[in-house]
Amino acid sequence: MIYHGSRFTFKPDITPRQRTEALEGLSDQGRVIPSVRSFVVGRDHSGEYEWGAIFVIEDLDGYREFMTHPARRRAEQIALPLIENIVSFDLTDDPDPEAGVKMAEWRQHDPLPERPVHTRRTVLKAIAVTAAGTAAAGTGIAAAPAAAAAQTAAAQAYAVAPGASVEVALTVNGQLRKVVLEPRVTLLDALRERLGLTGTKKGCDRGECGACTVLADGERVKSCLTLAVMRQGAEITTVEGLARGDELHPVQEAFIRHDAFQCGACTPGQIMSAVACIDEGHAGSEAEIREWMSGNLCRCAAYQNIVAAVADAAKEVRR
Amino acid sequence: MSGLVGQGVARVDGRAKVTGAARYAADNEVAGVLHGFLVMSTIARGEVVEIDTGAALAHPGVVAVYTHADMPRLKLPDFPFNRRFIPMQDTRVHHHGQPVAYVLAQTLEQAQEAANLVKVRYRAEHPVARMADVLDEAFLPEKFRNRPNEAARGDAAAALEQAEVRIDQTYSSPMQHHNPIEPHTTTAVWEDGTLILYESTQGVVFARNAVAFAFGKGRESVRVISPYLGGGFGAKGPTYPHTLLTAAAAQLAGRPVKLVLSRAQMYTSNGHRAEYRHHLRLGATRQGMLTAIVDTSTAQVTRVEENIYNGSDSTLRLYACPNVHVRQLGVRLDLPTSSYMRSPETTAHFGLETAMDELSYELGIDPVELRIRNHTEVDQQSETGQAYAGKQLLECYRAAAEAFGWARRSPRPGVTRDGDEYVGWGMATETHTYGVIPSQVHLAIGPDGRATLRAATQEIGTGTYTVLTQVVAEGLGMPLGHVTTLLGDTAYPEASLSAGSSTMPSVAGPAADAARRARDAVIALAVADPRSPLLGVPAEEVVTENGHLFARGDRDRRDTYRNVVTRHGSAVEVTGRQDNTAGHSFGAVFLEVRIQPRLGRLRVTRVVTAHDLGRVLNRRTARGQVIGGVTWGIGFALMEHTMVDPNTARVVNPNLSTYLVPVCADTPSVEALFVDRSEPDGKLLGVRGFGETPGTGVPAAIGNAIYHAIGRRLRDVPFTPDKLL
Amino acid sequence: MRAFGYTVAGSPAEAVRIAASTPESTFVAGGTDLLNLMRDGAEAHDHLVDVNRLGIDGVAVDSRRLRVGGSARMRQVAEHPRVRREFPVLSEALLASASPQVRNMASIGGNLLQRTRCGYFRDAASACNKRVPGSGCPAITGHNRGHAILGGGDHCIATHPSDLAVALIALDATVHLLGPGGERAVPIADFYLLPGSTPDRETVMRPGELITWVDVPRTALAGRSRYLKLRDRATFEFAVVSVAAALRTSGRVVQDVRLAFGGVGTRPWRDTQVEAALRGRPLTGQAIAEAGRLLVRDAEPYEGNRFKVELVQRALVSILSDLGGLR
Repeated sequence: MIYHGSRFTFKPDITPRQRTEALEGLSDQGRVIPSVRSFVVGRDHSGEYEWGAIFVIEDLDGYREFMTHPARRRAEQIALPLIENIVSFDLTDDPDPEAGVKMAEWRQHDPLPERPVHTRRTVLKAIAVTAAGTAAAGTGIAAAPAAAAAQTAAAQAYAVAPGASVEVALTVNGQLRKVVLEPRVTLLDALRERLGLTGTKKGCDRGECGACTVLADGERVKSCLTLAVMRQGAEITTVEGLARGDELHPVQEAFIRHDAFQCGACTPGQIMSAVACIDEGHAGSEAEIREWMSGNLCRCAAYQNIVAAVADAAKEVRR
Repeated sequence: MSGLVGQGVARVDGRAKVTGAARYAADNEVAGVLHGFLVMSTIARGEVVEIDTGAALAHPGVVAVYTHADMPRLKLPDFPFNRRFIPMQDTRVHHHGQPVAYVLAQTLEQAQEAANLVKVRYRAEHPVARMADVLDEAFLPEKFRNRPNEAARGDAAAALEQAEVRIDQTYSSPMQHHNPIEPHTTTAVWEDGTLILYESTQGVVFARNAVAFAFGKGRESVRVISPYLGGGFGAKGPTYPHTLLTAAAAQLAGRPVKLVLSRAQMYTSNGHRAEYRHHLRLGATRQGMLTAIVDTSTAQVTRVEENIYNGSDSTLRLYACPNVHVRQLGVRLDLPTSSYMRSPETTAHFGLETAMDELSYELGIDPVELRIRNHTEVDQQSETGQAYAGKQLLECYRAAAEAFGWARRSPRPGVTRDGDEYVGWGMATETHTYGVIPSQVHLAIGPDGRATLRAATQEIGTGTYTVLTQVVAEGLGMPLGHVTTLLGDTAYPEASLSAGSSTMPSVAGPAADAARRARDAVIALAVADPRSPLLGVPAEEVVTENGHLFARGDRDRRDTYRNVVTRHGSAVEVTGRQDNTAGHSFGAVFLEVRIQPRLGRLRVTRVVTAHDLGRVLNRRTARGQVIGGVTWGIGFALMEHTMVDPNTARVVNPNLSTYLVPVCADTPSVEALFVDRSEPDGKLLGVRGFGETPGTGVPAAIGNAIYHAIGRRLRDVPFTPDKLL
Repeated sequence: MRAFGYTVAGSPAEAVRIAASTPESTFVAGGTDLLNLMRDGAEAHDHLVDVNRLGIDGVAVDSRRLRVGGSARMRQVAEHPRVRREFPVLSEALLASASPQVRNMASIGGNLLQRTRCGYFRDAASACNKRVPGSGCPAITGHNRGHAILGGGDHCIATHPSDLAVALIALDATVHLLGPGGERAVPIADFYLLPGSTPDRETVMRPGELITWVDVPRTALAGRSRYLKLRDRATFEFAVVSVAAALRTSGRVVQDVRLAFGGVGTRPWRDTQVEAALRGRPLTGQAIAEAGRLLVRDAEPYEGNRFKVELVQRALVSILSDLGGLR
């Protein structure tokens, strides 16, 4: 069985008549297209979107029929220009990996009319799920009961077409954050330009200076070399997430105590790197700290003080 | 006085910096902003023939692609806008990496990719990129900032001829780049004909002036905001074309525009340290007294600019020598213009301090002794024989030598070993000019008894926020935490560019002046106020401490800033000013290197410095400049080199992996001593500019130590391992 | 970077299938070189296939071999206790690479497939035979300090930057590939190609092939191995010259030796003649010196890298002296 659906919100300035027509058009798809077993078009109660539509389709052939049917095209032509935000998804309980591949193919060739693009992003969330996989975060729709599946039977869990955007859910500093972006967006730019977290700095955007260092699932990584979409579901810690209210993290305090910064551009990266360096057990001596902190450049060259700060903080942070 | 000034007070902006709360120019969120990205020329010399923007415009999210055809006519500002042309005003290409088109898009990723899609056709001319090929075209450029490129005293040629001993050598350093960690960025917002720039700049006032001039607007219509700067080192002192282009793009688009240069773009967008060759001839007596110095240097300039930024100041001034001839020549190459880069005098000073070391071995005189014999208390260029005010250089030599253990040095090179390492000790004088720019500050004490200082100078990491807060707090007699310093906004009184080591000598005096005036004003209010316990106390008998005012003879008669100002009903506001004069700071650096010549491995293992910077305002931040400067000296000496392809004039290593700056593991521990015998004269606090002095002597000291270790004299930086084999 | 699509694959077979059916696709694990290649315009892809969840990220040692997954992380491998103990050259090579952050992200497969740091290759506006066949090699007459003295020619003199590859070549590793045509195993000595007149072809990999495993035979030799990396600054830099060496002696006589070199060849460099010259002989300074001269017999130095001819010989002396207990 294939479940094709979407959740959407209309633009604020449309008329009730326009809304009715759009919803009718979507319902027509369900009524008219033979491969649709059942469907619903109605209010979305999750709070995130206003409306939703789900179509239960027999099989792959039926899915193809659905995607190319004139009724569908008509419905989209009417509804899409009136929609502000939309997320669509496709789930299947077919364990054959091929199924997901084919579905992705047909979605790519889907000739969609004008999408509302300019000030709001149109989101196409495309997920093909099989028995072994689970849906990506945010849909609120559970996968079909997972059959015990060997690793090799696990089909693709996630697919995004070129030019499409996708919703990425990250836990950032303990808070669940969702952001819609293209796969080419780095974690660094997701943090700085979309999540309003400018504490992490962009120094070179090529992984050569370390200013962008954050913790991903507890490990230090360079966020400029990380695609946000590849860290779906990860726990990210940035410099903004270290202090607890007024109480600074021991590393932050040590940096102040030892004057381990001057201009401060490399500082958030140094601090995140230092937190991990201590956690990894690489702060046992000055020489070790120097080597293991060398992935973070400091052009003001406060290195001597940085080393002192890390050595000091290592004593405080009990391993 | 509470004695705050001089203490190693922790930085007051520390919390903001370690929590990520400090907002740098690219951190500002502006509603409706478009992302800009530059398309840079791929040729070094020629004309733009055609720009095909079709594919770029078709990329989703792209709002506009501007070329020279779209740009408004801008007027060329003067120095410190140090380009003599504005890109995209015509089709001429002056260097590789010059902006030729400007892309605007909704997201950064769209702008970056669209820039790749812009197709530019050029009529290319063959560029000249290699200085060695055109040395015979060296010429003496026009004077720059009122300093001629030729200076002489006495008859150096004759004195050299007659000297008992001579050193005649050539030294060199390559092109180098500042590489602050924060890339250049501009966010331009036009609002009703006023322009606001969130700009990464070392000089909000100069930036404002340059931009206003370029757009033909009054200065009051442009506001530049830069409270935090992620490193400057001279790269962000001048205003550069991308700032003007961003303001223009924002004007054309009718939307705010944010531009952040890529790291590669920074290699052609903000100046650099010019490639430099230094022919130096010293003449001296057998006792080591200098009798002649002939100093001829050649630096890269361009076809449209000819400013010389690497001055032979220490040749002219540092040592007592009656006959000196300095010529600073330029050679035109098809490269971007160079500019000031941290401690610009290092390039020439490296040669001088190396030559002095060579002289010391030639004569069999200890290198420190040689410096001492040539020490001068008098400004050598001064016609009146003006003495330096409190120059403690001799004490610096003494203190650093002692702390280093210089007396244990074996005078012969190549004999000191430790296992398979050769150990070498080297030293050099450190010195650099500092400037002064007339500055004002505004100080207000509010009814809450707290003080706020405002000045349009900058915090670039040297500790401006902290030191000014200390100066004001001490001057007022308030706790440090009761004083807030606000910087980096042209809405505040005009104050110094933060370059040329000028911030402290330009602004500390005015801050102290403002504190004095404000204190006097509050005291005047108190002693005249019937509601104050201090009524009738003579003003000079009032002591201020911790926010309180006391009568000197009777501490029970007391009031507070808060109460006085509250009763007054409005804030007490004053302006502070204080003139100062440019000058020099001094020091000495002693260091140890260990070399394993089999593999050419060198480590700098010990460094001791002693500096005379006048009054040490804050021990911590001063020490920060020392460790920073020493590391810069290590980078200069051992690894920094921007490589330019000789055929295309393109930069081959526009990044941070093949352009090498020192990493943490490169740096030894530095023992930083300060000789502070200043007499705080109340007005100027004995303050001098200091930031660029540390590190000036380090490259020569390293070269001198290498000679001491393995008997090999290196004169061309960087001293990479292949030169030590 | 262009707007690319992205798919997470769930098995090696699936990853290969997706790549085969998706034009202009490539695999992504850590992305630490791929993103820069795309940013710099050295490569362009329409689709990335994520290979981090294929089950090929393990590190295991059995009686015969060390098996490392193509998607295993550099850090994982470097810090594995058995790798450190029994294959020290691997651990040393990995720890001398990149930075701690990148070692947390980058994969073994990606490390082997990383591309040269030659500034001309990485500059889309520059001529470069590797990036645009037939456009020329500016390094030959330009800046070539980081370039090869061995294995080059008129077309390309770029070096390969991977320290791991050098170490693996010294240990006779085998690279296992899975592609549309099935599985195959390639000895790493054959994995990298000389540039010849086709510098754009760097490895024997065919389109759509994925590195699934790298096997390293367990030998006593592997346990007596070191890595020496020479750089211009203290750390966090690609090799100027490097040597991976494994040495087994009986008394002073060399029972067996393996040598591989980085920073000097247009591919990670192994010369079995050099090893043969040492095998069966007493390990003396003279023997090592002769081996070193043999190594550079065909060296073609350029203006900027001439010193490597001498430096690599000295590096050889240094590492063999250490391993052989000569000092």
